[in-house]
Amino acid sequence: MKKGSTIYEFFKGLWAENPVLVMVLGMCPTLAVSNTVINGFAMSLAVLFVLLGSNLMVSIIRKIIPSQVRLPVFIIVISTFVTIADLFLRAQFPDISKALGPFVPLIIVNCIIIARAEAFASRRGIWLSAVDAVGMSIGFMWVLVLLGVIRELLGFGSIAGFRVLGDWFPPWVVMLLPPGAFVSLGILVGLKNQIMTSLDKRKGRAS
Amino acid sequence: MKLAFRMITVLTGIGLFAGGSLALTYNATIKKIEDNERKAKELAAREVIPGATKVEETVIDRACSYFRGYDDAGNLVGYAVLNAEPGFQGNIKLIFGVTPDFKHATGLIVLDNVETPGLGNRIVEEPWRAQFTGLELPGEAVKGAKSKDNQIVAVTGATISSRAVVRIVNDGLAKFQEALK
Repeated sequence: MKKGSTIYEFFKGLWAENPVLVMVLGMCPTLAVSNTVINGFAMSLAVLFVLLGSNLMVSIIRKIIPSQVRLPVFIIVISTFVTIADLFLRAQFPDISKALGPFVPLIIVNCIIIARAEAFASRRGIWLSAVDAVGMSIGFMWVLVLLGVIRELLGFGSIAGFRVLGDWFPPWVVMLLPPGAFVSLGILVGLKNQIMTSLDKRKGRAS
Repeated sequence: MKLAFRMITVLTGIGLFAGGSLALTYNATIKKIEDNERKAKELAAREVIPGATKVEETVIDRACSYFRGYDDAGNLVGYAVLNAEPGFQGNIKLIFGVTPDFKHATGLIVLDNVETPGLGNRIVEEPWRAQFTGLELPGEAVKGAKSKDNQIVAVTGATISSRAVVRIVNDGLAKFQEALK
């Protein structure tokens, strides 16, 4: 997998440069809305829409933006897509929109989006920018859904609203509260690093 | 000079484009959004007024409004009051039904809250809310067991949230009676 190839730019977001586990960006929605699987999933869909839109837009207009005003331009582009996503959710999925609360409008200041615009889309072609956006969003999505599974399972005894643990299971309320989010995320980041180190070691031994 | 001109043109262009697409989206969605909000409120109002099939809203102030509930024949069967005030962590928005003589509540639904999951937000659960059906108004929240008809038992570990709900109901009732005069 070479840097710059479609496959590389897609898969880097999922693992090697995962926005949550490696770059540790977008912590605010990650910690706040990963209390249930559905919320995490809906949130990452909104991020996918915004990131894809803003990466495409920034990549298209990258040659005409004077570098002095590139940040205001990125912010305008991003907030436009965020507002569209927010209005759409409120019109079509009022329940999900209510559950996500202020975190959809807050995508505007989500570092993942602005970081991808600044570090990637403003320097690359349209195709690679789109691939990068989809890869990063899926990387964001699987971490949020996994966090949602852990927190919802331990906090409510259910997964995506379906009860899987019986009445014998006392729900751990703390998992739904901020401490549960920090603890679960910390464990995930630690696990990821552990896997990376052991993979590196094995590679080192083979060569 | 040339650079300044380019910066202004680009920013203006982007701004116009953004404004235009937002205006289009807003126009396409705003009706549906308002519909959703109205439907959610009216559904809750019909639920807390027993026998009501049609409700009419009258706004009192920004946080508070009341609904008249009518049955199929067009008779007034009760009122519902919507009120929002601070709870333990943030605003609690709720709607409750009132009998036509204002003496009893006929049900309660919590529409919005950010109380602690598992403790304070148990105010949304059916067994606790059911205490408001037939409750004498104005109410009072007590710990342990109730001794009077106007008392409800607070959620264990969430006395503040429970008291807040009762306070919001009482304040809403006062505003509603004031508005009717």
